[in-house]
Amino acid sequence: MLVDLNEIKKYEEEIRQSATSADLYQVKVKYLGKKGIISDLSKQLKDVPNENKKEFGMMIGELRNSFETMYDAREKELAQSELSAKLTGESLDITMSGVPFNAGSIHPIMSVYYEIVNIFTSMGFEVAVGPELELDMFNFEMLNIPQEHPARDMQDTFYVSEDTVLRTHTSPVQARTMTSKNPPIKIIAPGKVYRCDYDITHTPMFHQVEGLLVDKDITFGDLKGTLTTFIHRMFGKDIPVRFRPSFFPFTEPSAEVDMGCTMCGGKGCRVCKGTGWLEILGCGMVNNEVYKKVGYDPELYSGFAFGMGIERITMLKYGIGDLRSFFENNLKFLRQF
Amino acid sequence: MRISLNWINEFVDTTGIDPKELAEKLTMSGLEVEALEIKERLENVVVAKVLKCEKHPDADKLSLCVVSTGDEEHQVVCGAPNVAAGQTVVFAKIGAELPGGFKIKKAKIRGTESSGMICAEDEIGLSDDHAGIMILPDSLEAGTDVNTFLGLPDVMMEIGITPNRADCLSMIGYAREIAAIYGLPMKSKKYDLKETDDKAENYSGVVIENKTACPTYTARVIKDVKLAPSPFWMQNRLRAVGVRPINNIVDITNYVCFEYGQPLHTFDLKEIDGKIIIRNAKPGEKMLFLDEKERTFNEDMLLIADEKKSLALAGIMGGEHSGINPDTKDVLLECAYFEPKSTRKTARKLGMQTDASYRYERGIDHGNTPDMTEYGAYLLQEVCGGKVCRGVLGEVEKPEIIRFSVDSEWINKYLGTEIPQKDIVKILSDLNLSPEVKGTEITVTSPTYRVDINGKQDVAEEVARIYGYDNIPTTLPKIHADGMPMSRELTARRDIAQKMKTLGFNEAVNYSFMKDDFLKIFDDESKFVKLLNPISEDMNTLRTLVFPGLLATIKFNLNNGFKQANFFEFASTFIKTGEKLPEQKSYMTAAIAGQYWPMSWAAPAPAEPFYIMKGVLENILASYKITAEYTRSTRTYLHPGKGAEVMVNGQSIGFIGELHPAIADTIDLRENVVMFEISMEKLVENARFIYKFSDFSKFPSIYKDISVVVDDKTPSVDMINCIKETSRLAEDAFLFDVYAGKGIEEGKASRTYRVYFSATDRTLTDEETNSILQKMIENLTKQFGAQLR
Repeated sequence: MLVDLNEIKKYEEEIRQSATSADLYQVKVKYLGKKGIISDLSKQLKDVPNENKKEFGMMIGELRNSFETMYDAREKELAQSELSAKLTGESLDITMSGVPFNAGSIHPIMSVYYEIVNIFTSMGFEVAVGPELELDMFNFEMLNIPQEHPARDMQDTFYVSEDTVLRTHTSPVQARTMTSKNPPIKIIAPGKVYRCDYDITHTPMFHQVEGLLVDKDITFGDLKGTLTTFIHRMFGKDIPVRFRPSFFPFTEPSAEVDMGCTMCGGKGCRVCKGTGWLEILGCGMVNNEVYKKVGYDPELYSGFAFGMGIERITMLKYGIGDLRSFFENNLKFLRQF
Repeated sequence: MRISLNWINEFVDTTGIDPKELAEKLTMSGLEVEALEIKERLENVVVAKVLKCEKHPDADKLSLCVVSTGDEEHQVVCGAPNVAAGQTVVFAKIGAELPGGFKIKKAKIRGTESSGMICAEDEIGLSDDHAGIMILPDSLEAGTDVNTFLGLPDVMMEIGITPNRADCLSMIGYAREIAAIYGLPMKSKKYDLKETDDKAENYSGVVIENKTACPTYTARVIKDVKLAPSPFWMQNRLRAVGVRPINNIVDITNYVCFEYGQPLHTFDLKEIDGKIIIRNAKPGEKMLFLDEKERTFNEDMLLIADEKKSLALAGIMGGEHSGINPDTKDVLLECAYFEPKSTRKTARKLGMQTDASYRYERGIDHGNTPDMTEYGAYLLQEVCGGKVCRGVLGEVEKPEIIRFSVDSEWINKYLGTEIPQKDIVKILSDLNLSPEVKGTEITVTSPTYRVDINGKQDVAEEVARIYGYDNIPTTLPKIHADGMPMSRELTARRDIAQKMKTLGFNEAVNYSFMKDDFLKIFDDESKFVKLLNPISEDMNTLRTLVFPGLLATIKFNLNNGFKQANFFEFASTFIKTGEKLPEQKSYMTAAIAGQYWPMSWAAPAPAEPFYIMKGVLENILASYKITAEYTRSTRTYLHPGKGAEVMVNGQSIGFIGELHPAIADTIDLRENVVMFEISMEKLVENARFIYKFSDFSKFPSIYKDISVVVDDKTPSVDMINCIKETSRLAEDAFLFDVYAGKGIEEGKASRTYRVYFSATDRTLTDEETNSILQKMIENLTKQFGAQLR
């Protein structure tokens, strides 16, 4: 029995040469099919003399194995290149726009509102709110701003009746809180406030966050520390902060707090009017007159209060120049936030 | 408040102090310097006499003058209409540099040489006046340096004064502050009054009827005053602090007012009938004022009157009739203390604010009032040549002395400082608080000009501001760790805003007020809360509904070129209820104008905007575990067919719907708007924040579809309920296709519902589900006349 191994081994070349899975399969049929060349060898096994049978059988086995190993490898290779050819054909214009979900936004004042709230709540303050239309009593009287006090000139008030006003600050929330519970008090009161003033730097409605801490042994130093920490968390820990004496009827001593100008880094520019400082909040130690009105013992407790305009902080944070753009609600403005 | 350092130097010597440093120190001690203006000396500017003045040969409006500066003569071309020979003028020589950087050089004007300039007031920085050149008194010699009589150099500051610092509405007040800050001595002022033998009481008298409102009223009679412009030094000082000089008598009252903070008033003596009476006005009483306006009084208002008529409104303004006029010869000088509250009440009621009322309202130095009568009379004597009659008319009440103790340890504890007691005492002493020390207890006496110092906190403040806020150590308070988290409503508001952002909505913030006429389109006027003093009629009513504000926002943006817009807003509404405080509730509102999806090749097929908004609302409600039912709404501002009440547990929490097309038309909205508005209070009330997990089947769910034809008015939700109620194995069902049109009878619609089945103990078989499906179809047919498709 003569077998031309070289002839049979041509399958190696044929496998290598087949360019598609279909061609490759034809090679398989040719060698391993029912009438395939290698299959034929198996059929001839019975005619092989007994002493050579084993050797012949092993040779066929080897041929089959090496054929299949090679075949499988080539098959994988072809499948891969065919897949990648197919996928290449499916490629999209990846520069075309996606489904046009609207670009939603949170109003910048509200983002900053929650940012401020988060800073103070992380320090242990609670959030309190109250009515925007408020009794004169809570907006003024309880805060040591009686009728005919010059301090009323500091806040142009909207009236809806003789003793009902749109709150000019969120301090009435503090008055309400103090009337309803005893120290320790540690609240911030964010919300809308109103003043009868409308020009390039004033809108008749704006937002404030005010805070109040009343407990035993609270000092002016604590007030400085709390607000310095706030400013550093809001604007960065390298911002210089200064406290300057001022006046508010419900605090004593009172202070205005300035921070280094974020626009010019303190060198002096148009925004800080050349001073290098930006006024950012007002504060002070709570006036004993306020404690007396709410029935706290000023010998036992001390505390501080502070207030800031959210618009101003928002303007500084985002570099917004015109206060009025907050209430125009132009989508070109809103969609930037 | 403007101040002049030259003037302040009368009381404290500030020479050698850098004005910038002074400004900084004043600011840091509570007197905020808002502007600093340094006026330098004028070099090469001298007094000159106009020797000759002729018309310029080649220009009608110019004059050719020769002026003498004593040692020299200069030819100069002058354009002022009022220049004339013989005048004494301010002359800028070659080489002078005027304020604003204008340099005087030799020049040729219309072919004629001009060496210098005759100056107008604005050119030397004296005022804004450029009507003509400044004419000086002839007594000034040619060649005299102008700086002395122009009050140069000087430093002016604009101070932002807080309402408590009534003492700093005068130059002496700033002098005292500077003395305290720098530890400098105060200078005292002496004046010598020469009384004649003529007695004041021969001419008038004073009767105070209301001593509460006017505890002190003094007056002097000064005769033979000569009305003229005031001397330069007085004019300069008044100008420096922003007061326009008028005549010597008026200027004197202003001078004392700005120097000591004591308002004075002068009456023309011949216009006073008998005694001065300080009394309350009679209701309806009227008077014509110096500003030529007539005002009507009420009985709370305090008047200065005589026996026949009213003369002035106490502490605010004088009457026209009794004012100083060119014929005035003799005057009655008023120097009084009026009570702050009643002055303020009157000034506010009449809408008047004057330099006098401004000071009386805040509280003047009552203790100094009698001295100021003398000082005012002295100035009338010296400046106007007046003869001061013997005796002071009126009554003086001594102000109450405020004296109290404060513990120096308490001050340190309150401020968080460790200031040595001796330093505290020094500060208080520098501030004239006359500290008396006993152990750690310090007793202070408030000077009568410091009306703001009444208690220990005031003293702590004084110590703190002079010690320097910056020197107080910065500490953090110990806060009790029992803080409450933010309320559910505020948390929900924050979380919903985030969700709305993700869903493609832009948050708007609108004013709480709008025009009543606009709001009337949507709501009943009887609910309106109106402002008594609105900024404008466009903002006169508080919102009773939130969405009208959003409609205005939408309109604004559509007019600005946007084709569609999605907005949301959280705001309070204000509804009149008859209670003192109107009802104020927080609402969330959202609106879509036009299509939800912006124009794009990739935009999904347009859906009815109502259903988009309903999807948004359901999405929000689902996150609070709220299931709402939708019933047809009768709100008149909604499209009658596309509006629903959002019902939760039997009550409406708000509405959803399309804006009524007729209203859209009225308010000129070009796109359809679908919106919802829900009560935040009711949302939180109905939300489930605490709930238990419910077990679910571990076996896969299987689904089957039912397609039926029904009357197209059949509410879909009823059919879903019918399907679900048929078997407890039906865990969910939803409408996934609707078809009407070809092949379907008019008025009918084909609806396909997908039903999910599952059991907790087994995988359901086809037979089981098919038989349930059969029952479902039977039930749908029974209830809704559904036909299988």
